[in-house]
Amino acid sequence: MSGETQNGTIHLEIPSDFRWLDVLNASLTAVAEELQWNHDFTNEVSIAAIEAASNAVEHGNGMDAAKRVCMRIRVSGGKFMLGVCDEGPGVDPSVLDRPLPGPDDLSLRGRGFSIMKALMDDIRFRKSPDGRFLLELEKALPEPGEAE
Amino acid sequence: MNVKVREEGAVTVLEISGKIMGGPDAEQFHGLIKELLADGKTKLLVNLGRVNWINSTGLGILIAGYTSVKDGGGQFKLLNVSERIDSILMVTKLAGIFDSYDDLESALVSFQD
Repeated sequence: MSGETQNGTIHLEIPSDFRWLDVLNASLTAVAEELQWNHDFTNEVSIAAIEAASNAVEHGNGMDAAKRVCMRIRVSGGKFMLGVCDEGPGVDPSVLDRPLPGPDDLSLRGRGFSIMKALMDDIRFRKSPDGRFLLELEKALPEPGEAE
Repeated sequence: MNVKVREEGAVTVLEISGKIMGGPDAEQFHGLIKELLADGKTKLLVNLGRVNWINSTGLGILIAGYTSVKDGGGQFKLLNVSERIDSILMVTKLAGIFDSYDDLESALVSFQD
């Protein structure tokens, strides 16, 4: 076991429908088992990934099943990396600076990027080579034997 | 998201299964809560034991339910919050908002307080 995806990238593409997020979850579960990630790391990565992909389905592509959400999973250089792209106009990057609503603030929205930021080490936006909006998430892999 | 409603004495239990992700789920859940409140059912226990996952929009659905029930003078509590959902509640600092229980009996007793 190399602990990496052998310099390869796993590419997934799904219609913009929440039902197909199972494909992402199953892929992450398979990668976690293959690379023997600990439980906490797997849980954190999975929550952030589902958040990112569901944002792309709902907000990026407006739940239009004809539009695609693409995802790439890569484990390399001691890091887990996930890219999620959609066909939407993109997000104002300042959303990443928005603070998490306080515990007494019962707003119904505005927590998605805070969840991703809290669980991942780095999160950024860019344009993918084909011009689509791309969200990238990164998290350092746990040290071998790191306590859960 | 699928919701089944059943009664446990004075408590209405909402058995949710699948994913709580937003989209049509929000309207469905909000409509159900409104209906239950209109029927005088103000003690609601939401069983999340069969929920695969939830995202931030789904969290908003639960917050909306909590707020509606609280504003209607009722109680809205959670049962069987999975580790995954608990992680999201902790990260968003909302864990203290919801009363949550690991077993049905304790949850039902809590409504008698």
